[in-house]
Amino acid sequence: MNKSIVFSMVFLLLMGLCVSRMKYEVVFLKNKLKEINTQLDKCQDDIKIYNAEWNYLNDPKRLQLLAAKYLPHLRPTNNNQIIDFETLIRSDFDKELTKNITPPAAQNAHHKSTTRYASEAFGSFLDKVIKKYGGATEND
Amino acid sequence: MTESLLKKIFNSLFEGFALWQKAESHVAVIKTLRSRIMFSGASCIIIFLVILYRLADVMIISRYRQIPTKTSSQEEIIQKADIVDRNGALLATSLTTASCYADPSVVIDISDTANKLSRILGMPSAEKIKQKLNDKNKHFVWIMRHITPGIQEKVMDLGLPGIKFQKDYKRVYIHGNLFSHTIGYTDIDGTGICGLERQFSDELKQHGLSGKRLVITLDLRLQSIMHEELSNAINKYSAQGGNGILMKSNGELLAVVSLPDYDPNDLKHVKIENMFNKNTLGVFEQGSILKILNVAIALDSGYAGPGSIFDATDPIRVGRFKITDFKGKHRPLTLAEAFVYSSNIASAKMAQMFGAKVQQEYMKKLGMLGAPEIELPERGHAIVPAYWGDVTCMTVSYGYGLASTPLQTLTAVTSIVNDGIKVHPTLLQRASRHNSTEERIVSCETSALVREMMRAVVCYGTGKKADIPGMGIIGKTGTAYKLKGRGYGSDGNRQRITTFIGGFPKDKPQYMLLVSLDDPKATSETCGYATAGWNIAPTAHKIFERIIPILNDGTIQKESTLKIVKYLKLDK
Repeated sequence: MNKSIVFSMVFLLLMGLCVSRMKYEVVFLKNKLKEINTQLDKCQDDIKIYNAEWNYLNDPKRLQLLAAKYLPHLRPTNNNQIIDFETLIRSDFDKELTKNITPPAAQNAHHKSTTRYASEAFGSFLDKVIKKYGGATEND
Repeated sequence: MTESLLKKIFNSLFEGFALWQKAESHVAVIKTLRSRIMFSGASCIIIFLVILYRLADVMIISRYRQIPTKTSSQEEIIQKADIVDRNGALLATSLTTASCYADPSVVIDISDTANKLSRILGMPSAEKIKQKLNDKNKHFVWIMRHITPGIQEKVMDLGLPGIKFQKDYKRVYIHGNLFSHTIGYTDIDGTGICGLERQFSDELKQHGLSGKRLVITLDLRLQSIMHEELSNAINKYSAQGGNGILMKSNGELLAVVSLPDYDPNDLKHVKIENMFNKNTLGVFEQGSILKILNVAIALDSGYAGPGSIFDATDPIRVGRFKITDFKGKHRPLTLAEAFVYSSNIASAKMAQMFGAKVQQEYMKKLGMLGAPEIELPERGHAIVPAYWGDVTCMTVSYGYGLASTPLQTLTAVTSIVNDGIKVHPTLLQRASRHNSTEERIVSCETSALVREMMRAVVCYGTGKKADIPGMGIIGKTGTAYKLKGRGYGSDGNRQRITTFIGGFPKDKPQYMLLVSLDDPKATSETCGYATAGWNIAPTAHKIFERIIPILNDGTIQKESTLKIVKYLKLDK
């Protein structure tokens, strides 16, 4: 009888200690979780700020100014530069292209030669493509 | 004797036995008693130990354990969801800031606290802070909202009792005034005051923490282009303002600009008139661009064909008024010519043919008599004449007598050129334009004829300066005099609103544009004219020139002879 009582008491004490320990572990983990959540919130806030800053820096007007400053030879695509495939494979493609593009006077000569070179290169590439895969040419 | 002796013996034996039995039972009782005492004692000790441990925990251990506590109204300020454009570019977001508040019941030296705070914060003044801190019954008063981390640190370094900080959210509009009229703004607590912020205030608050974003149909690049070109045009022609809308054929709005505008990040320095959204709230007479609706009604109702003749030789006299043409041809004109040369006389005669009732029915179907259909709270209702008689019918034919918003006009015209299917403008992305509630307003044939005529306006008429070769631009210009009191002013001081409405490509318009200038002035470049063909058509050209490379998927509109050319007697 005494043994069982002593055993019960010890068991109760151990249980009490375990429950108490578990409780404090939970409190500790809760605090840790709160801390992690706070850090997470801070990270998210930081990301939001960086995102806002990134979008602010990517403002079209700012990019336009930067492009004009650092990429003076690049210009937005001209509508005349958009041509259909049929015009592209015509032999008078170069004429068509140079007619439509009006480069600045200072770069005119250089631009024409570049355009010529580009069209010839593209023409030979196109010939290869047509030879390999077939397609409509002037002779068809 | 023997019997009594035996009795005595037996009695004593029985008594002895009984006593023995009694003694035995006492031992058991004592044992039980002892065990119970021990159990009770042990229980008491355990309870005592538990109480002791808890006391130690509360009084000693907890003192060194930091348990964060909630402060004041922290949960009341809610983070709002972001607003992004159709490509995911951030337009409006909530950034975390700190707000300074005070607990007056804890503040010791009010005067010193107020002076020190005022010195660092700048605003509000020391007197105002003192006033706030004087109320000792209060436990919460705002000192300053949305302060910078640097100032927060300085205030914290003062170590003033009763001065605390709370996490707060500030609504930030990344691109300043670029989207001001559409997105709107919020008050200091994040409640939407106007624009989309107001329209979707609850939804934005609801999804603030979930990471969901409000995706709208506007495109940052296109908005920026339109804003820039309209601003340039306003400066160039010394206009009071301007507005523009770019719409997809399915009703999605790609750019909505109204100038002058305001910076929603800096509302303290905003003029109230700059907050006016001309596109959805501005109700005014649209002028000749309404001739698109007029010819569509004439063709669709079967009263006229593209070759029908209308005599525009002489002005029409209505009471004391006279309907005249600007640079009139003074000869009979076909319907197509009347449209291309923008004849008021022929348009009025066209309207007389189908009458006020038919006109009203079509206008109603086109949504010109109500408020614009858009997800914005700022919507102006059309001003419809109380009596719609023959005279009103004639004036409405060329854009006077009926006042509506630019968005309504663009929607109506887009519906006509969109194969006659009604378009519903929206700021929220739509999966497909074809839905079960498709409403036809005019026939496909009428739509095609109107497109042809609009192309002819750009090729041969007042819209020449808007043309982009190879893109099949269609359009119509309109110059309307602004109403001043009861009239339109005298010749010298008339104010105009010039408008271009158009789109591309001609055969199946994918994008429609409306741009207007408010009171543009004539310049030497415009040969002294201040009409739409001279100022807003070139502006539309510049916008088209910049947006087409972005929007065009490589489709080239082949230039072919217009079918209606046979009805046009072209000027040399």
